[in-house]
Amino acid sequence: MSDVKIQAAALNLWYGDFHALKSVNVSIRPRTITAIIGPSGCGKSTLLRCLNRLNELIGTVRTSGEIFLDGKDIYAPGTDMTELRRRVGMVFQRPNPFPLSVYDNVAYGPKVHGVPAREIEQIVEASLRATLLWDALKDRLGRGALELSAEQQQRLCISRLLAVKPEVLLMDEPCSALDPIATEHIEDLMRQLQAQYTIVIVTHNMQQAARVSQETGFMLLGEMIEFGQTQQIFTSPLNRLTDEYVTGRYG
Amino acid sequence: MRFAPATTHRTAVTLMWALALTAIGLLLFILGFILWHGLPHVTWTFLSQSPRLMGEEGGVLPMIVGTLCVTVLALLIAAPLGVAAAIYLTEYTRESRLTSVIRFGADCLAGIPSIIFGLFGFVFFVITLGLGLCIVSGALTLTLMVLPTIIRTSEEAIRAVPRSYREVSYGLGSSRWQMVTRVVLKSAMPGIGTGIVLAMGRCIAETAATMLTVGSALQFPTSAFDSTRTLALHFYILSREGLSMANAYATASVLIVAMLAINMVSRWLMSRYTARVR
Repeated sequence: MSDVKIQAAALNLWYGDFHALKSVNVSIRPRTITAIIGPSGCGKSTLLRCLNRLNELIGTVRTSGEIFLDGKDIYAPGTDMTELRRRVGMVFQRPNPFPLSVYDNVAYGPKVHGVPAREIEQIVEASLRATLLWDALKDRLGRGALELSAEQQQRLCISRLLAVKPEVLLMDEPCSALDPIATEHIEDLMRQLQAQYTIVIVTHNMQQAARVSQETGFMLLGEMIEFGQTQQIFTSPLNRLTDEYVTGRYG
Repeated sequence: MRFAPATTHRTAVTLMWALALTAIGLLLFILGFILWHGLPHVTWTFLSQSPRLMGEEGGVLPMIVGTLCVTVLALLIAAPLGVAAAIYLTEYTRESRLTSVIRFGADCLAGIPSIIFGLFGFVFFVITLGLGLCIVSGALTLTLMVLPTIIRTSEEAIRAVPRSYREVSYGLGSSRWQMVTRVVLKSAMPGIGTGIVLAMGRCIAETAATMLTVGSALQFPTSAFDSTRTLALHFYILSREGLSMANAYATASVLIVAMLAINMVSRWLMSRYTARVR
């Protein structure tokens, strides 16, 4: 295993005429939690959504530059998008389980990949166990997922992702719709998942970045201003802008 | 001049209340008036017999069957076509000149008086294609008439499905088709269902278009290529020709009760569906 899981090199992105990412370079280490922080509109979610090419579902997006996943350029022609998105999964800001049962939510991924029904049962159990939902929900697998609490819904969304055996988990402000206690639980979960997965989290919440991540990138107006060890970013940033942001001078 | 907020509020509430009451009152009055005159004549004999003396006596069984046949056949064709068109417009194409032309066309078609559809159906299906006045001609005509409604309501319902569902589905590696059938259609189903029920209502109530395409035969239809007469048309002919106002009201009552029943049942089915998936 090399010590770089994802590498973005000179990544530019335009929404129509708007230059949203300006020559961003970033290296993400495997089995590490990397946080991307920065004020609203700085491009952190956009960067995240480049990593599994979700941005392309919006009409007028243009990108240049390269992103390497395990050394292979995911923007190269002929990239298998299905495989890419399986390997690099996304957890969204608002918990968004499908309006299906708990079981069908987790089984959705394996089902579309044509996994036999017998194996799916095991995958569902393992995925729900991994997010500590199994004990609470094992007798309610047939119930609608939208009946669950917000925290459980977000856990379910993570289970749904784990069911397709991804390598990288992208989390776009996964706790911003949750209360502080649920947030703490999800952060605990992230620390557990870190043993097996590479996690990139975008967050508004600087304390959260400081608590869970080992590496942090600070973005401003589409540029990666500073990237480094979380502790260093928060205690002795090299860039004046980073310093002003993490000390709450603007945001 | 200014009034105290409390006064304005009270006046507004009274006014809105009175206006709402008028609107609902008018509706209830019409329904009540027809049912009052019609329901006493709706007997088992009326529902289970064929008309005699051009409808002056006897019942409406052939009309009930005819209405059902035309409506069901029309929806069997229009619903899959309409939903497919809506899926194409929302999921399989980008917004372009073509889609806005299609959408504009659908909106125009939705606003065209039904007699125009009747005339077209008469000229095209009945005469040019030689189908004659029959259930099939009528159903095809009604299909054209309700297609825009189904397309537009389905489109709105599909558009209302959160984008993140699509992103998650792609994120889990599904194909577009899997995403559409397993996620999008599932969550859009109540909206699509509403559109189809609306369309069903229009089919059942249609008079002008069916007169020109289904015809007005009084016989019991035994094949899809038989002419028959729908309930709405029967009601029109009975009152127009002054054959029997009692039977006209009774027919209208049957129509109204059937519509209410269909609306309530479909509403119930949809709420049950929503409860199951939510």
